[in-house]
Amino acid sequence: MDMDNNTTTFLANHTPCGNTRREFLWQWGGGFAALPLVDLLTREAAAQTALSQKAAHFPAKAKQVVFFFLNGGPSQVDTFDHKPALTKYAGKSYDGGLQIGSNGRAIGKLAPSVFPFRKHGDSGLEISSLFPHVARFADDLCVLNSMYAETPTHSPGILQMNSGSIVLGRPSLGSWLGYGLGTLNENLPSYVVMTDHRGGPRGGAGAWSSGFMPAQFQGTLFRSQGAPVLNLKAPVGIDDKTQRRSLDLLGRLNRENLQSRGGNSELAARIASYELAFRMQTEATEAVDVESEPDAIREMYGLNEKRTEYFGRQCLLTRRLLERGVRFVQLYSGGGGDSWDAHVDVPDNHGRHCFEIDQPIAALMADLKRQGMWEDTLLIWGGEFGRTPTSEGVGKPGRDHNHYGFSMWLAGGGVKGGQTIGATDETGFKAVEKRFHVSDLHATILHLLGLDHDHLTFLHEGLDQRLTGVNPRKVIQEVLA
Amino acid sequence: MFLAALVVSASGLSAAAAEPSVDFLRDVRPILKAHCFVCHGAGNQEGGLRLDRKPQAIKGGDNGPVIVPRKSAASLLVQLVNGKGPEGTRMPPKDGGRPLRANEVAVLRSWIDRGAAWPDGIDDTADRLSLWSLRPIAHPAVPPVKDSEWGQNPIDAFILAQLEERRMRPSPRARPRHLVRRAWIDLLGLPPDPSDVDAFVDDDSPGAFARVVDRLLANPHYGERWGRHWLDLVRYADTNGYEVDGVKPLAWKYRDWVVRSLNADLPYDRFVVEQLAGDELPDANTDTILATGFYRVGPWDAERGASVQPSEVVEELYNELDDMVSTTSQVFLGLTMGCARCHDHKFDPLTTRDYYSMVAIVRGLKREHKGRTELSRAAVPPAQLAGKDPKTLPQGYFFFESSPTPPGTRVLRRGNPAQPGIEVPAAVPASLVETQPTFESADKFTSRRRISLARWIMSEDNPLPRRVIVNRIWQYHFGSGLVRSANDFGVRGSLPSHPELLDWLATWFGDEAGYSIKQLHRLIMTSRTYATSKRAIPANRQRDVDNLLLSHFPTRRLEVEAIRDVMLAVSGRFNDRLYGPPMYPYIPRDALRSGYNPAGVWQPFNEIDASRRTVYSFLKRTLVVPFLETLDFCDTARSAERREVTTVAPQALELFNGEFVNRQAGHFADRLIAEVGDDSGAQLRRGFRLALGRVPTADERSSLLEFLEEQSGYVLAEDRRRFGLDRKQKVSGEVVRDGLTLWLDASRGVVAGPDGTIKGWESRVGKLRANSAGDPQIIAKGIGGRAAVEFDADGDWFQLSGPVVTGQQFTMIAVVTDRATGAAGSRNLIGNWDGGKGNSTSSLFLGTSTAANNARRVRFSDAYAPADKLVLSKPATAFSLTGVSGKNDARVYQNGRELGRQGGPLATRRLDTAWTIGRQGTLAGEYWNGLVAEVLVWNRELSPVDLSSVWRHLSAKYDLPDAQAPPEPLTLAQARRLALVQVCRVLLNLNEFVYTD
Repeated sequence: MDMDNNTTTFLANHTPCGNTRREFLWQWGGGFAALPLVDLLTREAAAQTALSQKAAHFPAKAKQVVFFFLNGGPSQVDTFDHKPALTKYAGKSYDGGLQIGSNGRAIGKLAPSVFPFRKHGDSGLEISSLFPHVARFADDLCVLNSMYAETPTHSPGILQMNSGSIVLGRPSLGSWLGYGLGTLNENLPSYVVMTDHRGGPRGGAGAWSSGFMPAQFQGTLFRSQGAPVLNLKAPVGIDDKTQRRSLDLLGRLNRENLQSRGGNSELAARIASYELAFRMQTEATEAVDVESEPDAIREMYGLNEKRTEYFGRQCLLTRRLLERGVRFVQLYSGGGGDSWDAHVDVPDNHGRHCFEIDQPIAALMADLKRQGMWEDTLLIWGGEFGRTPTSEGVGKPGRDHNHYGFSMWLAGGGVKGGQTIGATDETGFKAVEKRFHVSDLHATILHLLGLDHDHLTFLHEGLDQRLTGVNPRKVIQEVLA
Repeated sequence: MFLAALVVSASGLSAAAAEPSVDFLRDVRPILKAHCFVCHGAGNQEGGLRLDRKPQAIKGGDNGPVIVPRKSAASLLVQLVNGKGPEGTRMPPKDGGRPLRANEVAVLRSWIDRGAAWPDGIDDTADRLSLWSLRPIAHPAVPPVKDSEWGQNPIDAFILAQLEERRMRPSPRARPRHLVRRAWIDLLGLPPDPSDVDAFVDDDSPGAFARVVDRLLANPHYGERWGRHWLDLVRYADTNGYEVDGVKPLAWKYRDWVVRSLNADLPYDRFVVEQLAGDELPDANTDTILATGFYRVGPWDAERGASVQPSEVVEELYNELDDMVSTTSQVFLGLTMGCARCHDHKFDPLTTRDYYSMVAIVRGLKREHKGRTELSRAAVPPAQLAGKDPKTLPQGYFFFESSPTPPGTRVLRRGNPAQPGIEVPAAVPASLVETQPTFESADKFTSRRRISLARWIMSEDNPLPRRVIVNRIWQYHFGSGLVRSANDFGVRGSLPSHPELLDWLATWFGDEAGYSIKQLHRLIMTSRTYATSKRAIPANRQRDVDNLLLSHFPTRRLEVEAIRDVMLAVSGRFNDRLYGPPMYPYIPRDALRSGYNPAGVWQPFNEIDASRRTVYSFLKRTLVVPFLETLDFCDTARSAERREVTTVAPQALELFNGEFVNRQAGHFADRLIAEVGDDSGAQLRRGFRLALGRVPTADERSSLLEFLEEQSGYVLAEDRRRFGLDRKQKVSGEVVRDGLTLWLDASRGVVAGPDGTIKGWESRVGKLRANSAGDPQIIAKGIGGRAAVEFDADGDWFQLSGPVVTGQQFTMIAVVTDRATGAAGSRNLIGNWDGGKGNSTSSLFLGTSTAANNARRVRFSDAYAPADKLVLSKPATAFSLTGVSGKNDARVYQNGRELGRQGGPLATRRLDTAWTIGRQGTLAGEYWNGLVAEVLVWNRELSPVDLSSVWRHLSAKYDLPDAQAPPEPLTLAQARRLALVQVCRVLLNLNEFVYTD
């Protein structure tokens, strides 16, 4: 046999349905897919071990991730990027030479934030009055003030923040983590997405798609109430006993059939998947039982206040999911017709949205510390882009999309808190100092999880595809603790 | 001649051990090219070393020879790539790419140790010739085999020869009933009727199977099945994706063109040319123009494409052009050109220049749109358009060239439109041809570049398309192609498992079959190889674990379309209407909710329409039907060469608990009862024959009979228990007292002041008292001539003196009017909502809410709101409202009519906060607006008989519409049907059902 020919064949056939892999695995995060991290010559050895948990490239700083996605794009100059100069320039035109005005919108004048900034914590990190609760954790936040993206349009921007590319069809960050690291609990999905109660982000499920990877790596939508995932319950009119009886009958017939065929691992895996589904009903239902939490905890997350209740419930549920080994949880704030897209009135829009998420996020941070989960969990905060320092609002400060410069923050496992990295220009429009592309952030996230962005690859269309694409990207070293 | 030798040597792939051989072109040069040529090639000769030409490579660089034949350890090349050069130098250097992998170094060593053979005179053409797929198609002779009896056509000789070479025997022939089912599902994606199976099993005459194949090929469902394979390849969907995700108007006409063309057996060369240049053909017509929809069915970011920012528009344009070029090259040529958008292909002989030359070919294509909304276009040849009103002409969905001279195309550095390089003419990739094909000159209407491309693609001396298409057809029959990477015949793709067979088929397809795909099906399916049993001979399993040599027929799961379609056929509800606009399968409301626009995004469910074949499903890029998505439907963003097969728990949930399968299981059971009556044995026999094409084994039969017996007995006993028949209950027309914990009756127990303002309201049972807030009034003739309490929606409510519901099973009934109109908040009749105590979403209540259009819905806590709305002839109409949280379900009724039912009890409610009547929170719109005559609460699930008694009592008392006749207890026949439904549900979930025979 020619070893190299055979190797080539295997790689091209990375999701074999023709029994190339002898180990058939059936858990959420496992499956039949490729072996990403394995050197060509060691692949057979690796194929003998379970895929459920895979080795990282190097020791990970964090094991799990929570991504607060502020859908629509939060304004940096009203939150984490303090620009006193805007007061001086108020009402003047911006002359920094950038195209302003997404899709034909009016080009406005520079407008200072109406929210006062104050220094917080020992680090003196500047945070506006919109985030009083999160500000208590100023010394844990690592604020990136010099992010930039490739488009000022929502849907491709959301795609880029999630998948590294503005073009449809690429796997999202959570998919790459599932592919690279596997699952920690086979009874639950390893990549969970919770959308805002007002609706999902623009572009819908593309944001948590597994793109060209097999579907088991895509994000699973979780509802914070009732049955958390689709079809978890038996159909109407089928009681528990009937459900169990019918499952037993199915298992018996399938096993008899399997024996008569002399065994087939793929068919055996399918039999097991039904039992797994049955166990998942218990485990997932229990995971969403937020009512079982003590009152004090529920209040800490803001469940006693209408405006914070929804996001608070999701944050509390997030902690419960992390405890149970979910790898990646993405929470969308804003959706449907009411996102962070504050074109006409930033004070109203951000006032409401910040109120909704500030206390719940701070509660999750406190809770993770209390539970000893802080060091294992990476928190990411941000949207698909930021907003302009100019105002297009009529009589009110409303801000347009801005991908030239915006802010995000990281906190938790492996992150050096209490610092601000990079800077935008004097007005907060464009990232000028230590500019970080979205893919640099992705490289950094992968690094914190123990993965090398250059070596986490998946062969597709003749190319070893990466989350960070073909251009050279860098881990933001200053972030690392 | 070395060419022939190369073709043979490419057959090295197999699981059997053989002496490894190293071929310079195939194995060595690609490594040098990928890692060394940048600095030591035509452009640069760092250190005086050039490795892309034999004489210079042998001579070496400034430091002398780098290759010492037969002495790899002494060869500087090997030392350098191992990081053991002088002073520890490693090649490639750090900034020059990754170090070589161990197996790549092993190839170099092995090559040098075997003498470093480097054929003369190949360096100029090496790129082309090193890639097996670019070599001319060989005309291999049919190989001799020892067992001359076995084969039925030349395919078998190629398969058997490889098996014999490894001393393997193929498995025996499949049983006739397996074979006929295999053929049906393979060609039509539908199961044979039992009579079809019988007819074939009983037909011993020669050629019986070929006649079955011919009959199936003539069946129009063939085009639906195989058309779907093509739609995977051309990334077909009905919407554009991205933010706007607008509908592609009449895109389905392209889908229908594909289906019709396959049914008509349009020769493949013509099939290709029509899609690429149907408008430029001399005999262009509406159909050939619809075919060019091929270019337009991909994704489009309308928000960017129609942006006022020029940079956004340009970038989106290049994404569209990339979509066209990548899809064209993968689908027809089996080459991945997408990488060359930014840099020369790392492995294949494709450069950025090649890429942009291909872009130039499609550069003139334009999209008909108005802002973000796409428009269809008159589908007639341009010459016939003149002077006609386009609206009177047949419409279709395709791009068009608005001028015969497209804008110039430049190479973009790193794919960046802001960095244009040299201008390139329309051309095909240079390494694929000796000389460029002639590009026709433009005519009055178009550039005629696409027709030139199409003719070159299907030209005699282009070896790729024929290899690519016969491989695809083979793949869809056997699950894997002879080349497993069907869209990538490049260096990173797979080598063919049977290269001679592939070339023989490609030759036969072009020369003998006249590009007829149906003839190719017929050839493949009448081979002995196709008729082989699925069972592997144990010894073969070890020798060829992956069954690359096809010693037995591969087991494989059906595609989701076939799973769904076979279920419809088996249940008897299959709607076989061909062609036309898409249909909308059922999507659960919860799945719609996560969308950007949850309302109005999907059409209401129409079962007859939704029972059409799955190929007609509306494919929305931002909302894939969950049933399809869960069962590995392809990604529609890019060309999909094959379906993934994953086996995960959500699939089990979808198939076992999902709406579709359970609906079909019910239909299936009804069909069995209708066809064979109530005899269980006959039902099982018929059910197995329909679903699996066989009768049950004795073991299965006894298991299932036992199940039917037990389950129908259980269902009956449960029903009798629920009805209270074990307690000899009957509908009394009285208020049932057992478990009654609260009974507020406005005719009794209301304590009012002289002005009619109520102070309190005492329960007729127990000790509970409701104390008023605001000024609720007693109305003497409120509902049905009897007293009722009036709530004015402005602060009137009651607080109850103690806890009401104490467990998770309970029943609530109220008699009320609900006058709120227009968008109004959530109002509770009774509940323990308390935001201040953190009990809002987890609280229990029965209430209503009203939308802006006055649609009124019942809310039975936040955990359940039935889909059906309240029906009121006018806002003042009185009605009874009932909520039951039971052991197995939660139900809501208006006047005894069921508005909705959810499986399982309500999600656990938190019951420890104070109970109120007539409000939720304290905001405007959260107070009850209307009359309340009666409120009853039981701390148990009332049986149907109990419910009927209370409803009858209330309708007589308040003159409400009569409750429907109380549900009757199940008959034995109904219980047996329910048990049979479970058996049907199990049959549709069997492994045997979702895997091919």
